[in-house]
Amino acid sequence: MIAVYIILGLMILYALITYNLFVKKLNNVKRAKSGIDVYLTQRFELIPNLVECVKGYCNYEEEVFQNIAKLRESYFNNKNLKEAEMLDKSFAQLIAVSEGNPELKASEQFLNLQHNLSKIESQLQAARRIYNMDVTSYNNLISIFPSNIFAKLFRFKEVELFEAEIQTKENINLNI
Amino acid sequence: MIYSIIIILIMTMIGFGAYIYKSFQKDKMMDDTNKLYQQQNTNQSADYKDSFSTNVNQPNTNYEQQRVNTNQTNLGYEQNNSNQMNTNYSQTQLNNNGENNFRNQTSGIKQNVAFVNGNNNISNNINSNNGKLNNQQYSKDFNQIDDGEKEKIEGSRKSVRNSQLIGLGIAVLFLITVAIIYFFLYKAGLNGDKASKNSLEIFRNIVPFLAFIVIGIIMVITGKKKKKYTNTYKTEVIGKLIKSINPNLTYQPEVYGTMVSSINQLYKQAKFDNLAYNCFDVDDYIEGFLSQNVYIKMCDLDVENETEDVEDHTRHRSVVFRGLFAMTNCNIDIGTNIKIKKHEIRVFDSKDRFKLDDEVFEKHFDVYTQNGVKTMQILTPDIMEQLVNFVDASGIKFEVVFDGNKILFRFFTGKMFEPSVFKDSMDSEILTFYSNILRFTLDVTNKINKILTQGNIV
Repeated sequence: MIAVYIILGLMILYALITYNLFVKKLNNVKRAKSGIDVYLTQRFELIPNLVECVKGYCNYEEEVFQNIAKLRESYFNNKNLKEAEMLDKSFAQLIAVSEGNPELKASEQFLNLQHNLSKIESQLQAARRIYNMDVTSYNNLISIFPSNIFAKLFRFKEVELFEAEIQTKENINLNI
Repeated sequence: MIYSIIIILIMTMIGFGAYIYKSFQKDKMMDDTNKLYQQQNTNQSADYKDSFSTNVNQPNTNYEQQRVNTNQTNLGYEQNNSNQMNTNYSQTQLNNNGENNFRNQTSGIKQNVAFVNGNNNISNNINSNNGKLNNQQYSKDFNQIDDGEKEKIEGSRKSVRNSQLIGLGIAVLFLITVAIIYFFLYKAGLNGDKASKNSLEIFRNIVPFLAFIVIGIIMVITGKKKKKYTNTYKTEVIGKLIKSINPNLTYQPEVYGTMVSSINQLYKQAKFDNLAYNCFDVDDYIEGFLSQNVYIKMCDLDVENETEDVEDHTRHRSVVFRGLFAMTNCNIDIGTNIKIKKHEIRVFDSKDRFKLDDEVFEKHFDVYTQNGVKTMQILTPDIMEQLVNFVDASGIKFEVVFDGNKILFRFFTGKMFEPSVFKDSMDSEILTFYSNILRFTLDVTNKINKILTQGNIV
């Protein structure tokens, strides 16, 4: 009987430790996510400036700007990393195409924007690495035995990694 | 008992004699090999010679090869041809005119260097551009010293070594003589000879004094020679090695006064650890501009803590750090403190401990910082790989501190740049080791500065 109590006690102790570990790791993920949010917000706040700057030099289809504006608004409302990834991709493409325009590239306003962007990009890249590291650690705990049993019991769910390629330079079809 | 001592001493004497004989044989072989290679090189075409010499024309390498071969037999060059390098060498003698020939030779030397130095050799496991350097790079450094100079330095080394060996021989001879005299006096004393008893007493008193004089004379003679050789080695070999790594760097074998206190200040600033120290010894000071704004300072450091026992007034010295210390300034002030320390297993981590996303890196280093984002910006996967590769290839543990606009390194190498009279002054393994550490420090510094400048970190 005593043995049963001891085993039960140990299980409760393990459950408590595991629960606390889950909470701690989840908090790390949240903290890392807020770090990404800060840099993404800074980055996307530059969108209106970039659009204004680009409009003066290139004839983009209005639809492109509208799409970016829509995604930006959606991101600021929901702070969803999936939307951020999409917006980031469109944003990076806009920059890539803008860089192809020699007049625009020479403009002081654009150069300033580029400088700010590269600074934020570097920070975002670092924040993304921290976030993904924390998420991986948390997800590992959820997946491995025996902590996966407690993860189901306490309803801890896996978190998605932030996959955005910060400096994507894919070409898109725009009428410049 | 006394017989055993005498036998042991005689055995030691024989062994010692054999060692001296072997050393002289080695020197002779080295000289012969050098002559042979010089002769061989004169047969090569000018272009071929230039390219070949950067990789192959190493008297020391040849000597190393010969050293290995002497273990097999003492039959001379012809019979050493079973060795890979010598096979290639023979090919060269037969065909002096072709690129193909050059390839054969180069690959032969590369294989042979690996053969000479064994699997655990630091230098040959090191490849370029990711925390590692190769032997070819070292060869360029090595070739800065011309043959005449090499001979002169080697001559000086041999002279010191020989005088040390002769000194040791005299000391052993002295011991044997003392033991024999003591034995006979003691034996005569046992037989009741009163005069012998008195002589034994006088002998007992006089021996320490004689020993002091003999050892003193030996120390003075060898010490002077050693000092002279050390100066020549440092100026000619180390100085030129450093110049060949970067011509902007200057080398100063000895450091005094305010320079010591300024280095002490930098070492304190780094706060590598919390260990107290009261002895700070600096030598082999290197400094210079790497680029327009990047200045580097390096030195061989010996940091110790001396304590005195209150009860018996004995002094104890503990080593805090002994190795290479380097400081370089960045183009930009990173505005935070990042410590990359060698990995240690701890039960409780400090609150500043920051884990990175590279498991291999985490096995070698512990990072402490309060600014995770900046740490991640500086410690890119490329930089982390370079740091890990260096530790893997060299086996040298090191720590790095980023503080404001300074990067401070300390390598746990032990005493650096000190010559050993029993090893060649141009010993490829030792010089490659120095070259690799210096190049690694310069390379990491340049890379980090590039990241700081181009990545707009601040």
